[in-house]
Formats: sequence, structure tokens, C-alpha cells
Amino acid sequence: MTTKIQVLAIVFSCLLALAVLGLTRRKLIRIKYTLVWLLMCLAFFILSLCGNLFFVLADLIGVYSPVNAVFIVAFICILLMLFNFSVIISRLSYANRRLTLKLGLLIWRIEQMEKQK
Amino acid sequence: MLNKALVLILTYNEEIHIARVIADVKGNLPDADILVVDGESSDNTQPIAKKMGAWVISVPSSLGIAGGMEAGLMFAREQGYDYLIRIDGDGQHEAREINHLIHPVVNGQADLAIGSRFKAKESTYKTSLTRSLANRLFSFLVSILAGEKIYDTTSGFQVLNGNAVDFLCQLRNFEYSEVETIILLKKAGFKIQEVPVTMKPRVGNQSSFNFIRAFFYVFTGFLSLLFTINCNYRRRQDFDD
Repeated sequence: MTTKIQVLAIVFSCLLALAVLGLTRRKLIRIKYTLVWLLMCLAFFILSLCGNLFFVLADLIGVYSPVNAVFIVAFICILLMLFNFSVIISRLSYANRRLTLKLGLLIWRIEQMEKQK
Repeated sequence: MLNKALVLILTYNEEIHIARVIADVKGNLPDADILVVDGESSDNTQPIAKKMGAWVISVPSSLGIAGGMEAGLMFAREQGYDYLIRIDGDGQHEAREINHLIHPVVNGQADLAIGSRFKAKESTYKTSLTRSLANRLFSFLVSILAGEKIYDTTSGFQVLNGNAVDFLCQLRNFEYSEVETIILLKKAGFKIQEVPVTMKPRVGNQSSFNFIRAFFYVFTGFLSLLFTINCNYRRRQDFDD
């Protein structure tokens, strides 16, 4: 891994961590998701700092260039995050659906009560 | 004849048919309450239904037929109805057939009665190729999984009793689909009966069932069936009290 890429990766992971913390402070990300992102940043930071780790990793998974190992790790991490978001979206969608239907029933009830007045 | 029956009509831009459908229901089931669950129609479906004396609940169209049916199930449960009768708002289902369809449910022979377009040998009901293929595929799969021949798994003309309504409302993250409901009820020990009915061909606005939707419908239906067969739900006896 070249020093340039190493520096870029370190700066990127720091900036990402700062952005996540900033958004959390403004209550734009919930604490439980902050934790996931910070862990991701930390992992990326450690891997970037110890450039040798990528050589070991590249050797382990059988790729020639350590940069490709970076991409593979990043790809797997992103895939896991997307999977996690699918679960969260599904949960929200179920809750939203139920809430919408209950709202429809409540509006009907209010209309009936207003008619009886 | 009926203790407490709710007729559920699902609509989306059905201003041409809705008045006649409600009038037909009233003529055939004068004691039943009528609930129209409308998917936020842009035409006059809602005002016409209200004018005809039906209750109207509006739900976002994005929730589809499933959302409408779930609203109807929740309503029937909350208001303590003994029977939930579902008919379509496009005038395909004839209200005079309801008395015929509800018979096995009232007599305790079935918890869910399905108005079947294909059960009668002399049936001449015509449908598009995509619908026909989807129907045949689901009929084959559901019949295997349910352990009895079900000819019309996608019929929207149905009668459920209070126990079946209670059961469906209590399922966690339940999203209604005709096919899945049959398996869920069957697995939980509910009785299902198909009653041959005549249905009119669709007139007026076009059906939304095109090839892409058919593919999506079959694919998601097939997946949900796969997961449904592995579910273990409380048996019907738990809901009898």
C-alpha cells in the first residue's frame, strides 16, 4: 500500500467518524446506528494505520495487490451495512403500514363521533 | 339471518361501479353493514359511497389491495363482527351470490368460504393469459401445501368468520395475500370451503395486472408460501373462546 493511499484512508476514516459524531450530536442519527458507523471507522482506521495488515490480508485471500484487499474489505462492510438497513427498513415499513391503517380507522371513528354530535 | 355481518368493498377509482355494487349489496343483505376501504381515489368513489350510506375508510393507494383488506380485518375485529364478506368494487362479484357463499360459514362447515370462478365444471369464466397462468400455478402449489384441491386461490370474493378474522389480526407483521391466507388458515386448523360462483368479466377501467406485475405477484407469492409452510401458529381451538 502506498503512503499516499494510506494517508488518504486515515484522513477519510477520521472525517467519516467526525461526520457521524456531528450528526449524532444534532440528533440526526440514533445512538445505536452511530455505534455501528464508529466501529466501521475504527476498523478502517486500524487497517489504514497498519499498512502491513493489508499485505497479510491480500496474501490470505489470494489477491496480488493490497489495494484490492482494501476494496474487498470495504465491499463486504458495505454489503453488511446494506443488509442491516434492509432489516431496519422492513421493520419501519411494517410499523408504518400498521400505523397508517390504524390512522384510517381512527379518522373513521372521529367522523362517526362528529356525526353523532 | 346473520348475526353481525360486515361487507367489505375495496375500491380505487371505481366511481362507475360503486353505486351499483352498494345498491346490490343492500338489496341482498339489508341487515349487513357496508365498509368501503378506498385507496385514495382521485375520482368520486368516496363521495358516492358515502352518499349511498356506506362507511368509508381511506388508506394510501401504495398499500394496495392487501392494505385495504388488512384495514377491513382490523375494523371487523375492533367492531366485533361475526362475519366479514369481501367483494370487489368493480362489479365483478354479484351480491346475490353472497347468500350462497356465506352458507357454509354460517352453518359452521367453514371458517373461510372462497367464491370460486373455476370450481364448477361448466365454468366459462374467461381471464387473461398471465392471470390464468398465475392462478393455475398457485392452485397447484396451494393444493399440495393445503392438502386439498383449491381451484381458485386468488379470488377476492370471500367470507370469513370472526375466529378467522381474529387469527389473522393477531399474526405478527402480517401482510395479507389471498394465497398465503389460505395456507395460514389451513395450517392453523381452520376449515376452508370453495363455493362455485359466477363472476362477470371486468368492464370499465383496465385491470392493473400486467405482465411485470404478474411476475412480481407470482414471485413474491411463491416466496411467501415457502416461508408460510415453516410457520407454526396456534391452532384454531385457541381462538374459539
